[in-house]
Amino acid sequence: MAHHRTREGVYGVLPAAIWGGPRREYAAIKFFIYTLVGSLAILLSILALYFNSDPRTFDIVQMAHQNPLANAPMLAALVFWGLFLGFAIKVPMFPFHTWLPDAHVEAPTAGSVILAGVLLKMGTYGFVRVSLPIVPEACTSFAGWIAVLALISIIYGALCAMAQPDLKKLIAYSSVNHMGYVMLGIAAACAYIGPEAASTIGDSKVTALNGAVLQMFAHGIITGALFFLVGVIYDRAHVRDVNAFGGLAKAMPVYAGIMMLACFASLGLPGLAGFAAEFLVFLGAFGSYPIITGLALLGVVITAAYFLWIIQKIFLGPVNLQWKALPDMDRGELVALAPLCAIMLAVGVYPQPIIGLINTAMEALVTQHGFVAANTGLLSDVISKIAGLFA
Amino acid sequence: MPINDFALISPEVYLALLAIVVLVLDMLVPVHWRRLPAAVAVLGLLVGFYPLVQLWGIGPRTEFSGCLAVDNFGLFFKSLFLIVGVLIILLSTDFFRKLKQGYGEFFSLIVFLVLGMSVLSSANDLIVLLVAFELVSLTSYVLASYLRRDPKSNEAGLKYFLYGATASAVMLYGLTLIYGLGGSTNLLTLSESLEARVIASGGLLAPLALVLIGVGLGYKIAMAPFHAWAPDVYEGAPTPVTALLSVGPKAVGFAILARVMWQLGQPLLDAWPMLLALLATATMFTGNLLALRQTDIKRMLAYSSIAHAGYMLIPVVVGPGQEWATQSLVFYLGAYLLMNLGAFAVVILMQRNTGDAEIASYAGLARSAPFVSIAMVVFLLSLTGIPGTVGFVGKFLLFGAAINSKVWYWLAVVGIVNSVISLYYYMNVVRLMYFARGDGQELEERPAGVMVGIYVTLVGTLVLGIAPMALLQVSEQASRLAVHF
Repeated sequence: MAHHRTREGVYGVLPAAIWGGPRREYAAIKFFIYTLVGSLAILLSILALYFNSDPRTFDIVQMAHQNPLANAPMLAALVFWGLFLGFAIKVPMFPFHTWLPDAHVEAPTAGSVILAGVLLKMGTYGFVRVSLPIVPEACTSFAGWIAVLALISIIYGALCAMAQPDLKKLIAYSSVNHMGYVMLGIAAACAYIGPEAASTIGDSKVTALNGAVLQMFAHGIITGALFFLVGVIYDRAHVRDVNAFGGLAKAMPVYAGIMMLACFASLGLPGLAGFAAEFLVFLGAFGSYPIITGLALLGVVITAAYFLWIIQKIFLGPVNLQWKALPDMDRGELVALAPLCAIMLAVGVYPQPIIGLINTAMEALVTQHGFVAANTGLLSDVISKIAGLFA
Repeated sequence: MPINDFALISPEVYLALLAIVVLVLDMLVPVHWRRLPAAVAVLGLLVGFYPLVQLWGIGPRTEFSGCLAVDNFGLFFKSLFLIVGVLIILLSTDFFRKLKQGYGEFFSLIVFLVLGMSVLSSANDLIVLLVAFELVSLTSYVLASYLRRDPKSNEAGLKYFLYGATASAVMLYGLTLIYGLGGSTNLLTLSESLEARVIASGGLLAPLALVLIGVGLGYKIAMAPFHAWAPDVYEGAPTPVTALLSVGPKAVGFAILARVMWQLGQPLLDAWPMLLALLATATMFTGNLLALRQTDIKRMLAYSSIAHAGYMLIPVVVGPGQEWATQSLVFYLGAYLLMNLGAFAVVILMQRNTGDAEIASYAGLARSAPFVSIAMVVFLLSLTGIPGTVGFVGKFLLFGAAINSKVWYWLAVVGIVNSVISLYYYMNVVRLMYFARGDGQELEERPAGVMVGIYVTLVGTLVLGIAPMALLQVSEQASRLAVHF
């Protein structure tokens, strides 16, 4: 567990450092330092858990069953904040988000896509998989703090995104905003006390977690696509300034269509993946944090504002003659994007299959009973399904 | 095999003979065969493992009326010193090629130093401790000033000598006070009688004795605030000797800290672990913060070695009764030996080609010498403590020992804060090698000994980082001290 975390963090910097933009060294070392701080904080927490487990184990499932720090609230709090530091840097959550825009701006397109699509989820995954089951009491008592930080991430991330002229930086900040929804869902789930699943409380808890996990998935698809799309236009125009374009829909109609689809998905238009996820998060979170959830809805409005604004500035309005001859997307780019668009639509229109999959795991996590069986069962289920696809 | 006292000191007897053979050989062989003593010394040191393996597991026990302890702990250190000796000789055969006089003597001095460190690591009596301490110190002074025509080397030797002589004298005074208090020079006797006598005597004598000994040992391991000599000596000494000083005397300092101070520290002064913890904190921060601004890689590694002394003080603070403490100390010393000597091997290779030790000379090295650059990256990542390298396993154990003690959580936090600071200056070298513009230094001269040193330490750093079980087992067996049985 310890190995795995640091390794992922450390090797994540390489794409940004080797193939990136002009300030790539600064961005990479910043990313590296942030990540190492987080990894080492996690390492200490893991060691503290290990030495308090009986019999001693690093096994996450075993630890969840033992709940080693149930009788040591001070230590549980320390462990919780150690894990929090590591995961929150990875998410990233306000106030640890400052590495993300730098890393994205300097990273090549592929690096950005991997970063947004997969690596950020390591943080939220850690909260759901490690913090919540192993130190549940601490999670409950500090859920309010996480919710407030999540709210700040949502509003502040959205406002920052609105102020960015650089398209890539804008999407990076929108990631801070969207990961804030995930954290809000997780915080809400932490706030519900007790493992009872059959009650309303248990239901809301599972709903919030379902929303959070679905949002991780949706954000990975949507933001991955958005970064790819920014890469497409940057390849052709060599600028990413929102104000440098205009009327691009005439020159590149296919590109404009796909970009608009991704933007709409990201701002949470019903019928696309982002809506399903955010709706579940708000539904689950409203029960425990009505005011914070209400304020978080402002984030959705701001997000809608800046996405509509960039659509207007880039694709609509008078044609900027400088970009009149830009070629539209080629076949390779379309092949890469088509599945992402299909998933955005599919999850938005009919999210049932994927929510069912997530729900099984989250219910098992919340009830703790049958944690082992359900989890491994689910994992092997998914693996066999994937294997079936290729067979 | 009947075991008498002489069988138990066979490793030391063998090393003494080897040193003399190398010395005499140097006088006998003609000039164009002058590398022969070096070869004999390397082979001889490798053969020296045989008696160590024979004795492994026999202890813990004492010999010569309790003067020397035979235990796995001491044997582990002795084998570390043999490895240090072999690697240093490999790194120095080419380095000293221009020496007209005293080429072969160098290798015999190395063997003498290994001998001194070996005796020191099993010293169980204050007199033996002091004699062996002086053997190590005097040999080191000569080695540090070995380039007689180089003013910097002379400066290094003189500084090392002045600081060292003072520290030895101070420590000797502390030892006499302990003899006065405890009525014996034997550690086992002392550990039984000292506490009662200290209480009976009252007053400041006991803490004073402890502080005086602490100064002597703190100087040896370059602990803050007794670290001031290290950067100048490391910069001025011939680079292979710098490499030696950064691992050999440091390791032996920790051997004594563990063997003697775990025994005498607490009876003399109750707050001893706390005092040591504060000094460890100061040492980590001093080393890492001052390393940030260095432009000379030898100075940077000097400050880094100060910082590492701070990390290794963590298990000494935690104490022998705690799980993982002794094990993490000996494991980390082994790990530190590999990665630090590896880094120094690269520095020596670079110095052979550029003639200086500027960090700026590493710019663009990845293009002109990809293998050496990769090796350097591995060593630096390991010194930072990144997974996949032996340095990570070592730090994992160190911090684990602190966490397990339940008292020293904050020391582990200090340790990780310092690991993050250290990342910055280690990665600065990587940044220069890989991302600086322009072509790097061509490495036309690649002396075989240095290359072998790089290969061996690189393989060790990686293999023990990925599959540390072997060293973990050995270090666990090595965590049995004669005084604690």
